[in-house]
Amino acid sequence: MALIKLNGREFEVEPGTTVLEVARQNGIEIPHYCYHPRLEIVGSCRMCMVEVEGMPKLTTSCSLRINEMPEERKVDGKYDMVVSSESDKVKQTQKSTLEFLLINHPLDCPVCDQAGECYLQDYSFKYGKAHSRFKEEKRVRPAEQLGPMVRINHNRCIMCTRCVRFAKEIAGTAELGVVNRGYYSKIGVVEGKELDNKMAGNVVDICPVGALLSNDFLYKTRVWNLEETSSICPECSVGCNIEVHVKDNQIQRTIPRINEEVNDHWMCDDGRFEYHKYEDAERIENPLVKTDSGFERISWTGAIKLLLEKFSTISREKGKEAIGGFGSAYMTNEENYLFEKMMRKGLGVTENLGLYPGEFEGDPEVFKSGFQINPDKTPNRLGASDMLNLDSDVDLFQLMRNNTIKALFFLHGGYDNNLSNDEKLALRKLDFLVVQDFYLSDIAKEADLILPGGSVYERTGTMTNYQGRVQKIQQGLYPEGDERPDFQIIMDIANAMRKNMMDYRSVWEVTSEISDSVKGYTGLTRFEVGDSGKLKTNAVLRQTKAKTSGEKVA
Amino acid sequence: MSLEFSPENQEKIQTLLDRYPDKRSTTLPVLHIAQAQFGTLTPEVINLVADAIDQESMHVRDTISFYTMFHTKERGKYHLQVCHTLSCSLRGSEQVVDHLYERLNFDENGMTADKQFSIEKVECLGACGTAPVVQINNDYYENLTIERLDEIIDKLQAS
Amino acid sequence: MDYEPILTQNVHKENSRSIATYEQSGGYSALRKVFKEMSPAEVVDEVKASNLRGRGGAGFPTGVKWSFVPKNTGKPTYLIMNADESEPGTFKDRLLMSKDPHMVVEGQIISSFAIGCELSFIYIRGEFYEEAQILEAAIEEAREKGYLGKNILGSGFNHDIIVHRGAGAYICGEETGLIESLEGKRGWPRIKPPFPAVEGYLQSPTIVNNVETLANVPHIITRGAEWFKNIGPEKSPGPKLYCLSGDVENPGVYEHAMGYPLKDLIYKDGGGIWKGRELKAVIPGGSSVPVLTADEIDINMDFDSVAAAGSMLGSAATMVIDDTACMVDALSNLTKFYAHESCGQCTPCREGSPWMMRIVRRIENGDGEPNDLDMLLDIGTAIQQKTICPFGDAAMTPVTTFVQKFRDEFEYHIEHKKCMVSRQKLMPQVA
Repeated sequence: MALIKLNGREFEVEPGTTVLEVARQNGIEIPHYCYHPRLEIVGSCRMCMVEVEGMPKLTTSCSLRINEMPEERKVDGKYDMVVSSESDKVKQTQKSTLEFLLINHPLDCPVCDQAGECYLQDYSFKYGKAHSRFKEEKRVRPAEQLGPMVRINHNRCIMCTRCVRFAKEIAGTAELGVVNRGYYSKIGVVEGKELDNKMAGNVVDICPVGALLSNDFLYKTRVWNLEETSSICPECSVGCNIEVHVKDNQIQRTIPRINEEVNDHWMCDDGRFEYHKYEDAERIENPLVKTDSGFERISWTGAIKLLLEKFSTISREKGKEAIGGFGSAYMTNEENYLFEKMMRKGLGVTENLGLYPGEFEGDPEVFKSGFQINPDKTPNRLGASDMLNLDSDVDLFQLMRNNTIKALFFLHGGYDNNLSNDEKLALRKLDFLVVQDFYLSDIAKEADLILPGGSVYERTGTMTNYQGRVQKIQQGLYPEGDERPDFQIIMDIANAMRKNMMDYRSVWEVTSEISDSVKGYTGLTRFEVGDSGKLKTNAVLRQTKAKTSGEKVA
Repeated sequence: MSLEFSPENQEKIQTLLDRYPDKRSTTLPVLHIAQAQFGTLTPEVINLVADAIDQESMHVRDTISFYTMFHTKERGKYHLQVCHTLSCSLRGSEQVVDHLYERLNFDENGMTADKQFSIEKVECLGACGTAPVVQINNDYYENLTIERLDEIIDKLQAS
Repeated sequence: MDYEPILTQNVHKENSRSIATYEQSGGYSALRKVFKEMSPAEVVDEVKASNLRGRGGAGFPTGVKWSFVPKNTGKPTYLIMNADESEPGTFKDRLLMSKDPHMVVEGQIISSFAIGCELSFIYIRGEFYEEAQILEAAIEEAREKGYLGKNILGSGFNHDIIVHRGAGAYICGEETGLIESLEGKRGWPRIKPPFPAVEGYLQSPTIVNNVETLANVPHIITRGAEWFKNIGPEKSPGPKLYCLSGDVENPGVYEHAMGYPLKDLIYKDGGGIWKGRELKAVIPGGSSVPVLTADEIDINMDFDSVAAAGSMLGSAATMVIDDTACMVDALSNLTKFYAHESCGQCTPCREGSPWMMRIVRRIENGDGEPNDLDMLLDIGTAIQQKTICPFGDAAMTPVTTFVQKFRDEFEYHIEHKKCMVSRQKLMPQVA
């Protein structure tokens, strides 16, 4: 182990660690732009320079590796390196570097989206000069679209080249490069091509200033007005960790959260802009019952009463085998768990439980860094099937077709699943179909009774991704109509069947119960799962990727 | 109609790919070959080069934009590169430029109407002892005087 | 005692480029000696013992650099001859390549043998089209004679040389910028460490040497390290090509022993200031080194003496400025050069070089302000030693030294909004 003294504090580190890494790991801020933990070290912004005892020149801390020194070269007899990021020389250099960056940078803060999360603003405030002495004309170039998702404002760009390195090393698509030389350098694409790979949106996250902006988020709101919720992306079974940013009960954007085991620092564009689908969907705000003249409103009490009547009648007349249920791979573990309990204990269903939609085909789309997008476009297939205790031989649609199942409880909550004609015909053979969904989907349209629940952004609980990792999902939006959270609906129905059948005071109590009773989920309470999730005890360990070593400096 | 390298150039490129330890290192030599054949490095030429050496188009585009000898805009039949760094400047490069502007009418892009001549001020050509110097296409013309300059232009115009 | 030319001994001969002419005066005998009697380590030791220092500008001891190449890495070792000659005022390598290409080729082969390199490169600036052709022809002649190819002279050593043309970028003369350019990319210099000797071209051990440096090697082999060390001062020995340009009667390349007096270079070889004018300033070693006033020229042109006088020998490119030239104008010319050639990779140089250029131009055009000069010096300090490569230092050195030593001219411009001296502007207003 090597011993370094940084700003007067001692740290023991693995040989080969850089000074900047030591600082970051220990909460010491050394300002930097071009360094990113997942990208090749270039040392070009010169912002992170530090003073090292024994070296005549200041050195970039991002590239300075700490190595064990022979005894006679140790400083004070014990340190392999002594560094300061606070000396006068360093402070002076920080001021000049910021001055250089600001001479051509436009005074755009009032109109720039990055304000509030801009490294240039933050560092200028902390390390920069208060006045500018630049009297010449600033370099001016028009803004451009780099691709459909990303816009570049060249005047604000500080040429840190994070975006170029990202496209090359993480996405592997290398659409971006630097063009021209010196003063005229700028980020560019080949004529006729654009930045359109599926990870493109990440360059906006990693751009330290307001040069790369998301067309989607452009001019929407100031970032300090956003409410931030940690959640999981619902687009596919990878379950990237995200943050949902909301203002006025509307999602303004979703950005990735770091989870080295799942998505590292990234998310794909499909997931990033997924929330729009849900905005555009026409919500159902009240329970609806199908009549001859279309759907009509019914009260919750009325709906639950109708439901229980129909199910008990059919059950009595045609037996318990005539009842079936589809859990949902879009709903949480808790919701599916409660559903299973209600169906089996409440309605006496034995085998007739299934999961909709069926398996998706195809291979995951894998990027250079290992980041992947899965073909399974449901966020919780694994979790739902664990909770539902499915019998793999049961084909519910077949049982509907041959008139075995006459009453079905269909949980949906997803988006854009169009039924095949075959499936519709099967559903139409039912005597009674209840669909729990949040909008008038293809499935909901077939229902006799629709119970309005939430979209994926309105759920709280846990979901299990393709790796078998149980992750927390938290509600970011609160619907304004008469919808109820899906787990609440199931509890209400259960409690109507038998008083206090389900008397949980919160979703997390259900999580605890799951951790006590479901195989593989032992110990996975809310606190154990935490913010980074935890693997089921019986997880089949798949390839976890998403982490590049990134560093190529010896 | 897609662009192709001449058979002779294809052979040259193959030889380069065989001799160099890796393909990307052939970027500059192949670009010189491409510019010699096609004159201007248009986007089609860039893609052709990228294919020939198995690299990304963006890499080729990036590289071209860094070097002053690679042009993406059209130049005249005779491209006049006048050095104007210190030693040439001290010995009258400005007079050379002025005289060229007088003799040949360059537009705002530095091109004559008949596209015979284009002009560019370049940095030190490494011939400071024989200043002032102009490089016309690949050839150096040194120890310039106004008379010599006129002779050179006359000769080029006649050819 | 008159100096006998060593490096330029063949340049005035008829057919100086042909291998026949070269061999007639003993050419390739060094190569034969090396392959017959010497091991690579012995060649390195001989060059080390000679105290040969790099002629590209940095003056680093060549033999020592060669000894940095690690053995047994499993990777090939590369030698690259840096023929990118772009430092303003420098034109000596062109002379060697153009008139005596075989001396250069022989030096390259011997040096490659010394470091265990089987494929070497000559990175030659793109503008030197004719010189590249000449080198290719010489290499072909050498190959036909068996000095290149497989099992050279029965030694078991294979070697080939590739001539690689650049495409117009001064920064590609910096060794890591050169390596990046050779790899086909933009010439952005690399952060050091790692040093090229350990991780260079294609991450393999690489040595980059200047043309003139390598041209000395055959002579060291033939006549010995002791002989070499006795030419000029012991710590900075050898024959030296001095490039004289600017306001003198006879600009050109002059070969002398290291340590030749600057005064003699200007007034004897150069014939003194032209047009009957007086000397005002001299930049002794290429535009990137500190300028000297007319009072400071009593120095000897070797690495250590020029350094002691507060400047640098650099590429020994001496640019002479007479008293009718405006120093502000001259600086404007140089700052434009650096702004144009900055690679743009790191902040201080990318933003600072054009900034300095604009301030100087503003002063030249009569729009200067009193605090501009201190601001220029301050910007220079902000760039110095803060950049990835020495270009930053090169860009700010003329600015700092011109303003320091000729402050009166700058102040005159600011106060009177015009030149203190008589000559018409060096360059027009348009960038």
